[in-house]
Amino acid sequence: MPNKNFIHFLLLLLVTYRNKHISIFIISTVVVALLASLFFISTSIKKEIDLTLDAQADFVVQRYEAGKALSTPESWIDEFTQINGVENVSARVYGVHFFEPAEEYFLIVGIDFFDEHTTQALQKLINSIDVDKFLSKKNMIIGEGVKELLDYYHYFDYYIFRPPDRGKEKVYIYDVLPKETQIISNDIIFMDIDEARKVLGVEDGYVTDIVLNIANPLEVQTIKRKLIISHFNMRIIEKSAMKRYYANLFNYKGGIFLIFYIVILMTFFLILYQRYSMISHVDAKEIAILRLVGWRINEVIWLKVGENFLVALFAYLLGVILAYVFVFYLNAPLLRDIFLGSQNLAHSAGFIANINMEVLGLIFLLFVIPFIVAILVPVWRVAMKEPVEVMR
Amino acid sequence: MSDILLSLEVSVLLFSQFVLFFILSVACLYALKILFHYKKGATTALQYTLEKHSYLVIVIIQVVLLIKILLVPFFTYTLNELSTIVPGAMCGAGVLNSNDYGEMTLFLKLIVIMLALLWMVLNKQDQKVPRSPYFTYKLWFFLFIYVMFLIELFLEVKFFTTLSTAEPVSCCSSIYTQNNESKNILLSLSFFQLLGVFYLVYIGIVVSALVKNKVLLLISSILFVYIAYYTVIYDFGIYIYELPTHKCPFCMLQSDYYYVGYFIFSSLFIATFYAFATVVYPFVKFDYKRIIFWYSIFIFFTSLPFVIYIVKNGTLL
Amino acid sequence: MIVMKNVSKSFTHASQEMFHALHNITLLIEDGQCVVLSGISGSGKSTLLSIVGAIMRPTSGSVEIDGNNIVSFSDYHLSHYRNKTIGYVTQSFHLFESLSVRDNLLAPLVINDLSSSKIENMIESALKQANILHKANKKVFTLSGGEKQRCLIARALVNDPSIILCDEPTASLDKKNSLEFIEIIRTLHKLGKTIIIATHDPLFEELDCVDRFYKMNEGTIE
Repeated sequence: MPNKNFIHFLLLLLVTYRNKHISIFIISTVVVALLASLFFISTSIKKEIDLTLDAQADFVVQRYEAGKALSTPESWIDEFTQINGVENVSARVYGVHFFEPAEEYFLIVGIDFFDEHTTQALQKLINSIDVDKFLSKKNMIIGEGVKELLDYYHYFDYYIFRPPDRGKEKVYIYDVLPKETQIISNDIIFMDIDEARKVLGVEDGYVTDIVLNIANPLEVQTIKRKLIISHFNMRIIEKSAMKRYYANLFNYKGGIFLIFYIVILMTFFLILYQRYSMISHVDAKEIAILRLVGWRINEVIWLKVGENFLVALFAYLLGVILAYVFVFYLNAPLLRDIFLGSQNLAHSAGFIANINMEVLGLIFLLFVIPFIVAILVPVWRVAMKEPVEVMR
Repeated sequence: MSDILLSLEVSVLLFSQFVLFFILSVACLYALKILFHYKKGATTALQYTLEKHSYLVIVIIQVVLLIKILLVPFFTYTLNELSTIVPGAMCGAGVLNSNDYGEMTLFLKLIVIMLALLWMVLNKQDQKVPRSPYFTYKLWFFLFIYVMFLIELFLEVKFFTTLSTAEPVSCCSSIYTQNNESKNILLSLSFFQLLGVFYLVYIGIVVSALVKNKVLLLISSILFVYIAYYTVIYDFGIYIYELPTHKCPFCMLQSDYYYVGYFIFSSLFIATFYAFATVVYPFVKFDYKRIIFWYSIFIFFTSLPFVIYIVKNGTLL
Repeated sequence: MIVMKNVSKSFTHASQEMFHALHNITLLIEDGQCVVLSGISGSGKSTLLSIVGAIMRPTSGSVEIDGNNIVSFSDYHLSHYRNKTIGYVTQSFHLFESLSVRDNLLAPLVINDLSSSKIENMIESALKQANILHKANKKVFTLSGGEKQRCLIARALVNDPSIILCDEPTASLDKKNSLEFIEIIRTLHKLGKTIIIATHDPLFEELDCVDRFYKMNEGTIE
């Protein structure tokens, strides 16, 4: 059916009578740009979470009694190390610090610098960390959001914590975490494990939780069982569960938006339907000519469907490019805040440019399919008009 | 339930399906109207109007067919994506088999596309002849496709709504192990026996095409689809993955294996379509060359990884 | 050969009142004849032309062209027939105003499976026959009335149809352009085309190339 000359003629008409399509084209572009921004933001967030979570340990083990997490004894570390297949067992000390002036919470994470694995993980985040220099005095590495707040209250170089034992802990700012990990690390403070114990008031010999890796992914369930048998009063959080949790969280947010969006889309297609149901004199004449010279109804329909498909396609391409600029160069003003919400600190996250064929395909399906479907009936109505009726 | 429905891919998929449902329902109403009033050979004004209405039905089914063909790879892609939030599933196979509706949904999707393609052949022939001899047949046929589509839509909605993100499902290697489907006679065959049966039926198709026997072609082509499916999973699949325990029709659709699965299954689909079109319609020329060509393309795509492996490693897996 | 048997056509107006445009017309036109239908407007000559041209169906009766009763054709085949056999020079200027003359001639051709060079040749020869080749790349809206008319003729000829229908071809032309049009008709007649002209222009009455002359009145041939 679509031979070369037919397509040539179609393009000729489209280019010559382009003014006819301009209004639909502009609205379509806006609709696609909105949709694409939404998808770009959500895939970008997913990507960031994946990046951050991939660096996490497979298991997090906590002492859990009466439904509350308690400090975990350090002695468990040695026990776990004995289990075959377990590697990189290390302790973590972390907790929440309430920053009174701004009424915000900071997440304090203590790091054992004698543990090679943790140091490596940290070095992935900051490549220039010099451990000896870091440990030479009371130092910390903070997230972008923390940095902003401390700057605001003029703590440019250090901050004084007030631990539960009524002491004072003056800790210097060593470095700020890189932007890419911001969604999770915006409100984070990293410091030496002993320092963190002091600040948070965790007793010596205890840690907040224990993390460990499993060498062979197939053994995950076996090892989980062994761990549970060793101590009943514990809770184990798997990395895969964390990933699922975040994926669902953002599916949820994205899904709500999608529903709003589909409502907008429906309205748009209703307008489209209306627009094409109103047969202009020019359109009617054009079709009468084609029918007069022997075009069949189906050929007229395909001409019109082809024209509209191209309009939709160009609107799609332009919309996607606009959305790319909007999200990744301008950092999606307005949309970003709705999407990320305001958790502890306002996120100043920049989105990582992450576009794959699947997302583009998704947008294409969501826009172009209803577009074509919406015009089918009106286009057919126009095409089946008798040429004689128009010519008189 | 809601977790699945809120995944972008699933909502887009279902949205598209409902858009198609909407437009097909419009077509269905027109088809019923035409069938109700149409009188063969009449030259009344009403008759001409009805003929014009049939254009809407035709264009709708053509557009829907195009979209449905696009949606199949998207469906398999969605399944593969869902495997990250359905615990236990490593690829689409696990998700698809996690409840009773998945496999039937996919099967019906392919059936609907096959029927729509066959419908197009009938439509083309009907338009070729001046007095539209198959005019009412093609509308009845359309209504049948519509019903099949409704079943497909129902199963798909059921599939996604009953899909759980809490209960762990099996991954592909455990679904397709021999003892799991021990009732199936094909699976009691050894590697080479299955391979032998596969090539035997292929030869059967070639022979029935050469002697132009429609009954023989119908039987052998149906048998071939069935056997080819299992042979791809149990024999050729393991050479695609280069792992004797990896038996799965889904993983080969992923980029890790150069999307070879799409080539394999689409060539089988096209070959079967030509065989069916030849068998079903009296007016379709028995083009044995085309049928043999497409079946051989399928044989080529399936055997290629097998041959490559043997040439590269000089041994069987 | 065109054979019309008992062809009637009636329209229903919005006021539910029937208007009979044609009454039991029976007419035979041999291949290669040039026929003029004359009569005042409303006499039914345009309707008759539309029925032969397959853009309108009669209410009753049969129209056989080269042995096929086109009334029983489905729209699909009727359109095909129109494309292959009929060249229609319409009353008012039905052209794509913003396209060039050459591009206007593409319309009847692109729906057929033709090579680009073949299309090029067909357009070239039609433009030559209609004497409009020198304006081939001009947009239609820049042309004069006579030139538009010749563009319509070129489009009617481009598919090399055997039947040419002209509906009031000289209605909006001056004397000079009308004579030029008649010159073209004369050439086409020599080429063996069947030509039917519906007109009330007395210019056609004493034309040497006209084989038959029918006068129409209130839907009948006198």
